[in-house]
Amino acid sequence: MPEFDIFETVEKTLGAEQLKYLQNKLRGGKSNSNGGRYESNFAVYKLSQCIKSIFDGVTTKLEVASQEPNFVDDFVVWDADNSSKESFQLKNSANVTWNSGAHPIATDFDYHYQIDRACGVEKSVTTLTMSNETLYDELSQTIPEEISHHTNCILFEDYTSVNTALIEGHAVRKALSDICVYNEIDKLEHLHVVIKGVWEDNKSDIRDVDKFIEKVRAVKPEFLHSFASTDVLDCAASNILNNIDGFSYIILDKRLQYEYSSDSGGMFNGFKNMDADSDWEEFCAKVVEVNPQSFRELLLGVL
Amino acid sequence: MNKNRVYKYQDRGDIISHLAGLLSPQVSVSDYQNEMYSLGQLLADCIGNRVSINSSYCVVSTAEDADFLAKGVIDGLLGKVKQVKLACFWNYHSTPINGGVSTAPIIKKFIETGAESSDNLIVVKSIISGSCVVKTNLTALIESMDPKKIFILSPVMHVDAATKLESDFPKSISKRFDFEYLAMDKLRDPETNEVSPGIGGSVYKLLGFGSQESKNNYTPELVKARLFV
Repeated sequence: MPEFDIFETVEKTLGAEQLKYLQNKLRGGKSNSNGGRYESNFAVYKLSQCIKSIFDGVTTKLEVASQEPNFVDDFVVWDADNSSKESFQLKNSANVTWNSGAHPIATDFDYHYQIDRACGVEKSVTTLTMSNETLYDELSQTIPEEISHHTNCILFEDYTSVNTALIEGHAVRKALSDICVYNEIDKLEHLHVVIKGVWEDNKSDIRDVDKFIEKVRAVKPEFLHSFASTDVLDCAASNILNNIDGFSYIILDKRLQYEYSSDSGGMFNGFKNMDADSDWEEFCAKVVEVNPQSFRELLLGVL
Repeated sequence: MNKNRVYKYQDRGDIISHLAGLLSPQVSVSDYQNEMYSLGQLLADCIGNRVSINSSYCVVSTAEDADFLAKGVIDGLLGKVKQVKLACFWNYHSTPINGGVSTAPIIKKFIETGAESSDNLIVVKSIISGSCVVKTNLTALIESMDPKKIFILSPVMHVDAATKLESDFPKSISKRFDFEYLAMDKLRDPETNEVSPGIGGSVYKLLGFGSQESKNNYTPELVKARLFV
């Protein structure tokens, strides 16, 4: 993110009184654990979207931060390629307005935008994120005109159980399934736990999304798409596997994913991690050595 | 009498004796397996008046429980219900982030033909502690089926397990839960976090698997018998 002395910029741009307000605001912090949970869940959601943007090549360098010193500080995404910054204010409450109170949200958003522009951010967006649908409907229709050119509203519902959220099709499910090898709740929940844990352990010192991805990949398993080149089984091994009735497999993301179906018995499927090149070699050698003629021999002798 | 354990059927000496058998310091692997099988039969017996001869059931088991506890349940249900099918899961149970929650992603699964069209589910687990494995396997199945009733059977449950499990599902699913247990424990071992006295320690070791890795390389006889007919 642009390197600026935020406090000096605030004093120059907005004045001493606003500087004092910002310093007090930053000292306040979050008041309860529900807020902390909501922020962490939202971080998983946004980080998953950032990881997808990197995977898809939409942008080459993304940075993220929370509690970044500024007026809108709950979560920030900075896209260096496009000099654009989106700053999120999270509200896990039904009792929020744009203009009430000593320091209205609309004023914070206005100050934040002015400071971003003063710091050289070409495109600054302030986003109010709410957990309450009724509140979202109301506030998204009544964005004050003076901040409407840089302000969005989004609905991100709160959840205490990741499993329930995934079953019910919460937006975080799509965000996770976009970067996960499998669109299966057990793998998505595991990835949620890993992303949330890595974020909570490292949010004070990691900004670069690439570095964050490295940290996530260091946890095994993590089920992130690897985009590794597709390995190919050696000819002898693949010939043997291709001749087993009812058995099929694909090689994807450093995994051998397989399925066996028998009309009378049922369906058996699973995967085998092949993190190192030597894992493939060992697997192929074992297939050739055992030379299974049926899934029974393959399952009991190789898999 | 352990004041931190509550037996559901206090007048059933046979149940209490089999539960005590799991805790014996000298218990052999085969004795432990036999105790689990007997407890499975007893659990099936305990839900006997809540199952119907006109309905089909899918027994959901982990790989480690399949040949013992789950087999006991299945054998105990035969003749009392229209049909019993099997779904078996191999989970990788771990705590991926230090100090965080545990997860149990599925690395292999076997679904018997017709299991997913069963009227009801019977989830079987040797112990329900944090309910992570039960939650994972049950979730995988309800993505593709719509059971009327979901029985959750275990010889031993931690006192908080049912509430925890219910909180991990939408109300529309958790209202179908019907728990059956034989003992409920209040304590956890401060070092291992295992339920105490629970089922006597690590079920992988006590059932003879040694480790999670060897458990995940094991194919239960119950699966072989169905898959390789």
